[in-house]
Amino acid sequence: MQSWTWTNSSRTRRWTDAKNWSPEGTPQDGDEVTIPAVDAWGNTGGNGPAGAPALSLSKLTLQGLTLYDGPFTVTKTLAWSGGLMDADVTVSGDASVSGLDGSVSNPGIVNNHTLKVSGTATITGTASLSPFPRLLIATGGKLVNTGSLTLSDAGFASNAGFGVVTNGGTLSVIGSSATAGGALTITHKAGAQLDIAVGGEFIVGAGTVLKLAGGKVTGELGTLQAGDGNGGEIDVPVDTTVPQLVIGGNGTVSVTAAAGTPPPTLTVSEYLGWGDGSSAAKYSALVGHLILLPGATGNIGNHASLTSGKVENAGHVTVAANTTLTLQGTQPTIVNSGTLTLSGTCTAGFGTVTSTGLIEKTGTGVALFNVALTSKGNVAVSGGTLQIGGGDWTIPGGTVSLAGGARLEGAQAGRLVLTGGPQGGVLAGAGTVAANVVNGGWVEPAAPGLTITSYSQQPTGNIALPSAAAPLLTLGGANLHLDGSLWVLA
Amino acid sequence: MDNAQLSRRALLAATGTVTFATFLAGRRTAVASTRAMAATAAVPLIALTAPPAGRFTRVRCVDDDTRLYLTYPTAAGQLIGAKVAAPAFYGVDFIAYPDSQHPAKCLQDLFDNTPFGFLGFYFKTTGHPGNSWTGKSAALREQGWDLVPIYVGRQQHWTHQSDNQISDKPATATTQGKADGKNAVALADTENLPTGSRLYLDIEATTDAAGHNVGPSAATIAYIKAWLTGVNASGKYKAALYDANSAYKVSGKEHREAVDIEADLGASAPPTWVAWDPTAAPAGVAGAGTWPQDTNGDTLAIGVQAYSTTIKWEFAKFAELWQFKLDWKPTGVTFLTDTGAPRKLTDIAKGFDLDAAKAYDPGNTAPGKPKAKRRPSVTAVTAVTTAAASVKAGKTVKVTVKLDRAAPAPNGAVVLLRSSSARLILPSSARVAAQATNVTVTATAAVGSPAGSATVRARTLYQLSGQPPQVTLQIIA
Repeated sequence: MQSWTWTNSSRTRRWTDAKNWSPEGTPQDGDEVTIPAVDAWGNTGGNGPAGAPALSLSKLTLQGLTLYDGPFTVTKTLAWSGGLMDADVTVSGDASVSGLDGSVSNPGIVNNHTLKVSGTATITGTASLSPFPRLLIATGGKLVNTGSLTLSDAGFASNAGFGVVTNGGTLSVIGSSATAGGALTITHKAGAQLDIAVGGEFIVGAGTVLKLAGGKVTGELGTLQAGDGNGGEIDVPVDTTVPQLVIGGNGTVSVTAAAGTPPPTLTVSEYLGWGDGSSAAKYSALVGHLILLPGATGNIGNHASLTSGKVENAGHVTVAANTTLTLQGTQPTIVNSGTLTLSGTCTAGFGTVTSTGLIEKTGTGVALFNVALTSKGNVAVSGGTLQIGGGDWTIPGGTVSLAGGARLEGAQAGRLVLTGGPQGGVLAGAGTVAANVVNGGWVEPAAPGLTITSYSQQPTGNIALPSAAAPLLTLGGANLHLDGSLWVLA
Repeated sequence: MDNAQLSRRALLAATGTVTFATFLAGRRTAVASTRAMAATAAVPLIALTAPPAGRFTRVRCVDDDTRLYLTYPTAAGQLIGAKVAAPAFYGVDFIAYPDSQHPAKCLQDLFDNTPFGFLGFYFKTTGHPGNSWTGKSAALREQGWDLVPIYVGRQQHWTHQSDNQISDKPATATTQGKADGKNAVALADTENLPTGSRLYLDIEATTDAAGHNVGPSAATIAYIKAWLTGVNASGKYKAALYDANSAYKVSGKEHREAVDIEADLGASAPPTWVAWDPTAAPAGVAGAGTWPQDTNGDTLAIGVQAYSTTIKWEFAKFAELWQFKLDWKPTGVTFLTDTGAPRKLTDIAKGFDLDAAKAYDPGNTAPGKPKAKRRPSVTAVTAVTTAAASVKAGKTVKVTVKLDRAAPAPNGAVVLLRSSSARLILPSSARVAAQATNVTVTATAAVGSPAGSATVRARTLYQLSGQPPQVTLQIIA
């Protein structure tokens, strides 16, 4: 085995010119090769050696000058700290990529070439750099990992073309990792693993599409994020579980499949962040079916949208103050078996919500829940005002309760419809319901009193008064109608 | 009794003629307590900011023996309620066991959702050849009904082909009465009626061959006495009498059959159930609506009492049970069931006799138990937790509601469940299955709940008084 360093002493830039190497000669299979940042004549950047034959090197060190031709196989070590890779390289040993500092010698894969990692590779950046240090994968360039690839405070970038990252092995993220650029597709294949370490984050930024095509996403305390404020998309064509997911500014998570294949689901097991506070104009979009598991938490902030999909919440989702959650497209639905907290002033609409869990309005301000709601769980208004929008709220079971002088309003045409008769839904507590209430279930006022401004009781409806004492219930409305049952408890 | 008899009785009540006179002497004083009509002060229940259309169709308060009568404002104002202790206890009888698709369900609905607490139960006899009630007493008693066993005996004049006429010879009539009394005991035994049950001999209006009311003959009185003696001789059952308050005149003076029979029986007069339809609510009956209903749509809370001093009310001085509405055709009348769905009374029978009693158990088949005690009630609510009475946020806990008795068949019993905290989610109701004594539901501490507590209260739909049983759970964040 011989070690060679590129010198370009003959100034021909020919790989096969023995005088261009130190010591003189030409690298052979099994040898070690170093391509420095500067040759003997002071050339840098794209003035690297040309005309390299196909070689299987035990070690390849790239420090700045561009690597051309080949293709190359590296059986032991690829040490890449600078320069472009204008050649196909396959690493079956260990690879390290560093020097991602945004300088002209920043490493990158160009001209439709491919870096294949079948062994172990680490791409190391510097966390303090902003924007994130990224490995350039230019138009047509590919990074194919079938081994173990670690991003350590580093990410990927592409230019105006289409770069491709294919992960068929293990892609580990340590620290902050982000992607950006023109159009970069990251395909996370079936059988592969994307592991985001504790505190780590993998941000799919503007121009990038991360396609979770069957690979695992692991790391209970690491975050996968779509959207860096300017764009970024995660596509989920098959069922996938992500521990922590953030749909950031202008980011999109699209959980959709090709026509004719079963609709996929994206399961979030730990945390869902949905919305970006950087700008009111930035929406965070979810398309398709997302499941938040029991024990998981979610926070929806600023501007978020659900398009033609379904969110199943078995965890605890908070719609933060000053948030607009837009449900749009074909039958957008939220299925809540956990807790959905509407905090402060916020708006959610216009889809369908079914709940067997808790929907609560807390804090001050007005929350407009402009959805067609069916709840067999509890709806609690403990602070401020909760508004019914254009769709009816149907309560076939469970309880709608007001406390602390809270207020339930009908902002539009929607009504509060209690159904189920004596075995049905309940409106209980003290406060004001300034909405059309159709009672086919129960109304049960409590001290200091419940006021319903527009009331109609159906034959199946019931009022239960705690005693025949001071009236705790005030009913009104232009079409005030009484029917059904009155029960007075002694 | 059949409809023909009922019609006949109604006719006679209005047009009976005089045949003989009796003197009311030695009348037995009714043993059952007479409830006084007691009304509390009217109180505002609901503030209405506009005059309401419609009316509540079921109004319930305290228990089965309390009515709450409402006064609706004609403008913005208060809905006023006045509680009234009903002056009697109410029941119903009709010819045949329902032939609807779900007769047992219908009868439980009737018991559960109306003030009716007792039910006429006909033995199969020559006078009542139908056997639709036979063998059903146990199930009906399990539903809570106090049964009033009715033995339609021989009659002074029997218009039908069968041999069911009281002999006009007192000695023979006595023999007939003894035999029929013995038969009544055997029939009661077949139904396994409890010791002390009252068996009512049904004596229809006493008429002559022309169908005119002529008052009871000596042979009829002999038959009745012998029947009563025969039943009482069993030592197991108590004899009682059902007769009519039909009118006739003796020497120009109006008489009433039930009154005359009572006098003729003298000291041997049994508890008596008198049939007479005043055709309208007497003055002074609180809450009178469309006869025979009150303003809430329930059976009128009429008392077994004399509403005037005329002879037609004499029966009230001794009768313990009054059939005050005969063969009521409740077309279009419904009552609400525990699902909230209405049930037509005509699903149960085409014609109803409505009854008021001075005691809650005129048949004495449910001694010691007023209707409220014959309804299942919740006695305990318990939570099954791994740690004592605690549940972690996001986790579930089983809550069991226990009744004081097995839920009746076939409907079971509805229990209402309420949590003091919205953070404990549980079904608003559950149904205890028929024959079961408890039901278990799943309660969930809402995901993300902070530490706190929640009290779960449970009561049956009709358990309106007293503090409902409860359990307090600690929610662990």
